[in-house]
Amino acid sequence: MNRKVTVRKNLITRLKSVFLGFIVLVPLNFLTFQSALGELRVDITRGTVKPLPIAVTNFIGETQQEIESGQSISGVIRANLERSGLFQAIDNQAFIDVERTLDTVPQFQNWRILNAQALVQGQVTLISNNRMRVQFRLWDVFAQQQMIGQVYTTIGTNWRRISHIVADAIYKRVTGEEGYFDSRIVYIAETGSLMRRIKRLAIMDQDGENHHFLTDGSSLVLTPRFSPNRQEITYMSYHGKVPRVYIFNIDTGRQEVLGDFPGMTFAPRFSPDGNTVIMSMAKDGNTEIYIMDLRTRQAKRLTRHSAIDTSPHYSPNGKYIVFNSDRSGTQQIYIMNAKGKKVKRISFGKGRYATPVWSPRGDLIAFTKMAGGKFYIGVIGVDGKGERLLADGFLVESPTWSPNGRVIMFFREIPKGKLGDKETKIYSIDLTGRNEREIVTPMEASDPAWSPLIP
Amino acid sequence: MRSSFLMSLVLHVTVVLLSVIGLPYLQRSPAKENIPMVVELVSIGSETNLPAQPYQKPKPKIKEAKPPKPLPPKPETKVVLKQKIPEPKPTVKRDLKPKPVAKPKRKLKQVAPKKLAKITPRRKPTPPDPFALVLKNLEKEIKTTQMAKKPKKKNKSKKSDFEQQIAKVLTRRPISESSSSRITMTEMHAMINTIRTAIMPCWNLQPGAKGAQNIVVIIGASLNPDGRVTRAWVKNRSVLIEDPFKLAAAETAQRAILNQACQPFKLDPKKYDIWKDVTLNFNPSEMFGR
Repeated sequence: MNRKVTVRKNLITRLKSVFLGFIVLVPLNFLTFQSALGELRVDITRGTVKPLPIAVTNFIGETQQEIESGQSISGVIRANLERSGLFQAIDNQAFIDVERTLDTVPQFQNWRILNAQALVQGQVTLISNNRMRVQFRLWDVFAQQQMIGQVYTTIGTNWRRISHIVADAIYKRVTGEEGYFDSRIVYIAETGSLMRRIKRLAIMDQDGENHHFLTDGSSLVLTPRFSPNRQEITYMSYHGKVPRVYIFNIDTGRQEVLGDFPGMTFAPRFSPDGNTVIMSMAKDGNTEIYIMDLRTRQAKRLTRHSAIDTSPHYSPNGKYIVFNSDRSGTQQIYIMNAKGKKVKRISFGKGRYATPVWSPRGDLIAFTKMAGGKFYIGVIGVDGKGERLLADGFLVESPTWSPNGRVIMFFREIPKGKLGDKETKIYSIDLTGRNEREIVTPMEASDPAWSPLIP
Repeated sequence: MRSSFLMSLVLHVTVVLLSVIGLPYLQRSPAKENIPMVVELVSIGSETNLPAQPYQKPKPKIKEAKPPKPLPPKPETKVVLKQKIPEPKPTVKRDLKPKPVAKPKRKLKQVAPKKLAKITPRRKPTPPDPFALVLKNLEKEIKTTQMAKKPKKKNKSKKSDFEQQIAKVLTRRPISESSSSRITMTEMHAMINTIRTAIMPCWNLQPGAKGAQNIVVIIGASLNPDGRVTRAWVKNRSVLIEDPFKLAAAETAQRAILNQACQPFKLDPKKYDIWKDVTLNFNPSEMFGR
């Protein structure tokens, strides 16, 4: 009995001790938990989307010619960066004290006052045989360190191209993506009334400079597309009364018809390796997709369906083809493998879809959509998810990607006062749907096609 | 006596349960209310109707009647050479003012561990005390199991010890609150919100880039007592440096924390020990609707 009492008392005592431990430890832990956590941790889950303030100083030089070239080069760089919508060039008039040499570290406090987050400095030196050396440095003003520094040597007349290359280098270093300024646009230049429309192939730099006509307008031309690795363009022309696909060599000016097809061929595009052209051919009321090997000139049919299959475009790796077809009753986007098998529909939204174009990055497909009496330019994931509409209008059509897959160019028809009268212009828009800009051309323009970066 | 003990027992259990289960829940909800609203979202639908901004460039003059000519070949494209320019030599850096900025960083760094070293020994001995008492009591109780009378006297003295210890614990609270290194959950959340709200306008995202929503950047930062950032570095740089876009995203986050326009952070100087070193996780997934 006594033993039982003793055990019971011991139990009570132990319980007391345990509770004493809890009572002492729990409040202590609670009160001092913060110290035990160490550093304060902050989760930042939201930010802003604003252009990066950048100061592009006039490239310095010793002679008057060097100074003028430096100003021109800086101007092109500044315009390129601003036009991308990702940079905001600070007005040169606001600069406090511009360094007169590239060999010293800048006075960063002078640039911080202007809220410049990046600083570009450069120098132009004319060397023998009309050659020039252009060097530049890009500085991170807040981190106070050089981000990139490069030097280029070329002939003097090539200053504009050097400017684009420098702008590309800056764009790539700041955003992490490849630039797209050293590229060109081929498009259809349009003149004349609606009934007597003249359409010519024209080419220009992506900023509208160095404009040239490639054809004289005697034949109607449509849908020009760049070769990924050669100075060639494929397009459709009504030359010789029968619409056919042609190839045009930009350097030599030579053009040739592609293949001897029994029907009308149209909507051509190069494969990623540049060795094949994929196109549509209409015959006996049916349209199918064909490929032609440019080396052997052998053609091969890819689709076999009673519906209209058209607007084919290769994926960047060349393994898949996106196209549009009305095999389900309305025009929708489909993907198949490069052999024409395993066809899969990816668009299921309301309306009709056309002109699918695979992004150079491979993750998105741009398209034209017709719904509710309006046209839209949009993008959709290759799995058919995440459809987004970027631009709209009475008629917007023919999207084309910048070489880095960040910007889409398209054309827009704007109705004018008179019945049937219209104005056609080219626009560019960022992938996010921001920064829509008109690409100014000497005359009306349609069907733009963006080149890859110039090799 | 027994009833009071039971009452005490029930109360203590309630306190323990509240502290373990109830209090964290009660303190989480007000913190959520403090989270600031969205600054800017990358919404496609609302952006598509932005007015076009024509590129203001004089139209190039082109003679329409001129027959097309084949473009001249561009051999000059091959002429372009590219070389890297190294950063200017350190001799130039003597002219720079940022150097003195670097010195205080080191001082701050050295101070931090010292303070922690002083604090930690104070805290560490306190928790073992109650456990040591508990163990000693247990040992004594086991030894006295054979003697029934003696433990009764000891129990009485222990009861008085027990009450004293409780009283000591209860009186400790105001002492611990006075320390600058200890804060409540509410204070901590307020501190976090202050820093978060200040940095958000300076974090400039690149939403159009491929995989932008998946890049998490961890930045470490040292702060001055006036709430300004003296130094910021990318903690997970080794993971990000391989991909140019990830590196760019890391530098964007670093610029956000270094941007003077978003400083100083309005934090309580008395709690400087808490916020002198901060770790910031920049995770944009929420902006992409994840």
